Amino acid sequence: MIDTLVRRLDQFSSKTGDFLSLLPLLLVLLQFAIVLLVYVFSSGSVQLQESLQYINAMMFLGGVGYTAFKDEHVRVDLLYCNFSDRGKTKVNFYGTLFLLVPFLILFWHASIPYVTDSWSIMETSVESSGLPFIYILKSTLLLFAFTLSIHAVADLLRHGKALFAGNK
Amino acid sequence: MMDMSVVVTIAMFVTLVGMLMSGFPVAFTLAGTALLFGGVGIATGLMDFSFLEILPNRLFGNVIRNELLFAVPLFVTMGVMLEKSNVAEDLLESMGKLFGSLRGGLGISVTIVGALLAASTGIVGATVVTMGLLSLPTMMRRGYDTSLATGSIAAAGTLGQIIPPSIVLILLADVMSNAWQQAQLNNGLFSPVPMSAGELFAGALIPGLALVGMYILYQIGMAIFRPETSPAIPKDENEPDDGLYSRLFLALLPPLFLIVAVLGSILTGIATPTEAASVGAIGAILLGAARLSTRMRNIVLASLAAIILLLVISTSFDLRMGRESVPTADQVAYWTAVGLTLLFFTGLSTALWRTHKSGVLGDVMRSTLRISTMIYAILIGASLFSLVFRGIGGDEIIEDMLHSLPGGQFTAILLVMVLMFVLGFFLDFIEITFVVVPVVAPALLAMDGTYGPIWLGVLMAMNLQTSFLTPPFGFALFYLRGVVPEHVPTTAIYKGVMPFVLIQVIALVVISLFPELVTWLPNKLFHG
Repeated sequence: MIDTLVRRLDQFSSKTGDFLSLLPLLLVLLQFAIVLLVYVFSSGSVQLQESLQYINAMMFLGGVGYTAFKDEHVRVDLLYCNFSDRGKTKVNFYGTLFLLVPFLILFWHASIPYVTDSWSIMETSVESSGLPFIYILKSTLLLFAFTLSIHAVADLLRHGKALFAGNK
Repeated sequence: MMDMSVVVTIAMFVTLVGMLMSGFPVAFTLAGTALLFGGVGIATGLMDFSFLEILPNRLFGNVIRNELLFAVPLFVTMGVMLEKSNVAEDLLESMGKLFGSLRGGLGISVTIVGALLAASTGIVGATVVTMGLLSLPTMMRRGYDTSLATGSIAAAGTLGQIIPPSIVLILLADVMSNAWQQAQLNNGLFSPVPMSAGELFAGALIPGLALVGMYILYQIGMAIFRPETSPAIPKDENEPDDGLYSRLFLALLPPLFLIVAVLGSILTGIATPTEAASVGAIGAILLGAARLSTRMRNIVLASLAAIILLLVISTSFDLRMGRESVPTADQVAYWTAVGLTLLFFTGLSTALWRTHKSGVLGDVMRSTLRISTMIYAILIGASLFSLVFRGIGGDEIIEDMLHSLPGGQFTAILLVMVLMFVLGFFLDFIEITFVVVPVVAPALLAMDGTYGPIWLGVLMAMNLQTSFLTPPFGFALFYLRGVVPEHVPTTAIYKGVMPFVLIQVIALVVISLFPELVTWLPNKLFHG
C-alpha cells in the first residue's frame, strides 16, 4: 500500500525530469537565436528575451523535486558518507520532517496569496514592451512548492516505513 | 535588545553548521534552519512574521528575473557537453603525447587541461574526479612519483574555479555586485557604480593565469632537480609521429578556440555572459557531434563556415530591412544571410539529432537540469536564510564587529579570509558564495582602504580554492581519495599537495600586496 504510493510519487518526480530536461536545450537554442538576431540581423525582441525567463523559471523551480528524487542536492558528506544505511535514513526522515516540511508550509503559505494577487489584477510586465504574463511567471513558484512537496511525502513514507515498520 | 540579537545571530550560525554536518541537503537545511531562527526571532520580538512572507517577492525579483543567472544553465550545458563527449579525455591524451616525451610533461599537461576546463560545472568534485580517472593511471604507469602526481591532479582540478569563464565566478559576481551596491548606499552614495560579471572575469584572468604559470614552473623545477619524480615517456614507446600533430591540432584547437571566443566576447564587452554562454553551449554541442563520424565532422565544418560567412556579411552590409529604402546590395546580402542561417540551423539540427541518437544529448540535458536546479535550490534556501539574518539584525552585528576590530580593514579582511578558509573545509563554493559573502562583503567594501569588489571577489575565490586543496579537510582531496587506488597512502596525497598550497598562499599574498594585478585589466577593458 505504502510502497505503491511511494512508487507512484517517485514516478511523478521521474517524469517531471524527463519533461523538464527539454527546457535547458530550448533555453540554449532560443538564446543563441536571439544572439544571431541581435548581432547579425540587428533586430532584437524584448518579448523573445523575456520568454527565456519563463522557460528558465519553469526549469529550475519545477526541477527541484526531480533533483531531490535523484539525490543530487548537495550534501555536506564529511560525516554522512560514513553513516550506516539506517543512520542515513534517519537523517533523511528527520531532516525532511523538521527542516523541509516547515519550509514547504511557509512557502505555500507565502506564495499562494502572492500568486493569486497577481492573477486577480492580471499583472503585466514592468517593461511596456515585455511579455504581459507576469501572473504566469509568478505562478512558477508553485511548481517549486508542488514538486518538492510530492518528493517530501514520498521520502517521509519511504524512510518512515524503513525506520518504524521493521520494529513491529 | 542588542545583546539578544548577538546571541541569536551566533546561535543561528552555529546551528546551521551543526545541521549541515548531519548531511541533509544543504538547500533545505539552510531554509529549515532559517525558519527555526525566524521563529526564535519572532518569539523574542526581534522580527515580525511578515518578514518571512516577503520570501516569494524576493525570489521573484532576485532569482527568477535575474538576467545574469541565466548564464548558469547555459554554461553548465557547455561544461557537461564537453565532459560527456570526451573532449576533455582527448585533450588530456593528446597533450600527454605532445609533452609526454619531456620530463615532467604529463604533469604540465594535467595543469593545462585543468585550466582549460575552467568552464566546467563549477563543482570541485566533478573536475577532480574526471582528471583523476583520466590521468592518474597513466602517470602511475609511467613511474611518476605518487605524491607529485596526486598533488598535480588535485591542484589542477581546482584551477577551474578561478579561471574565467567559470560558474562560480558568475555566482560570485552576482552576489558581489549586490554587496557593492549596498556598501555604496550605506556610505551615502545614492547613485552607486555597478560591477559586472565581465569585470570580475577580467580581474580573475591575470591571477588565474599566474597560478597556472607557477604550477608549471614548480613541475619543471621538480623535473630538473628531482628527475626521478617525473620521468618522460620513453621515445620508442611513443607511437610514430605521423598524424600526431594533426590529431593534437584537432583535439586541442576547437575547445581552445571555443573558450577563447566565449571569454573574449565577454571581456571585450561585445556580448553579455548569457549571450556568450549560449554560443559556448552551441559550440560544445557541435564539437561533441563532430566527434561521432567523419560525415558529421564535415557537416559541423559546413555549419561553422556558414556562421563565419554570416559574421562577415553582417559586418560588411546593413541588414536592417525596416529602413525606408534598402539598396539592392543590402537586399542580396540579407537574403544570403537568411540562407546561411537556415544552412547553419540545418547543420545544428543534424548535430542535435545525432547526439540525441547516441544518447549523449539526453544525458547532458538531464545532467544540466539537475546541476542548475541544485544551484538554484541553494540560492532559494540562502535567500530565506539571509532574509531572517537581516530580520534579526545580524547584518548590523557583523558590520559593527568587523568595523570595530583593532587594525581596521586589514584585520577585518584577514579574519574573514580565515573564516572562509575554514568554512571551505566543509562547504562548497556555491554555499559560501550565497550564505557568507552577502553577510560580510558589504561591511568590508564599505571600509576605506579595500580595493573594491573585484579585488575582494578574486581574493575570496582564490582563498576558497586554496582551502579546497588544504589537508586534511580540503574538498578536492576527498574526491581524489575516492578515485586513487587503495594502496596509495593518504599521506602521499597530502605530501604531494603541500607545495601547491604553498604556491597558492604566495599568490594570495602577492595579490594582496599588489592589487593592481587584479584591478588593472578590468580598468583597462571596461573603464579605459
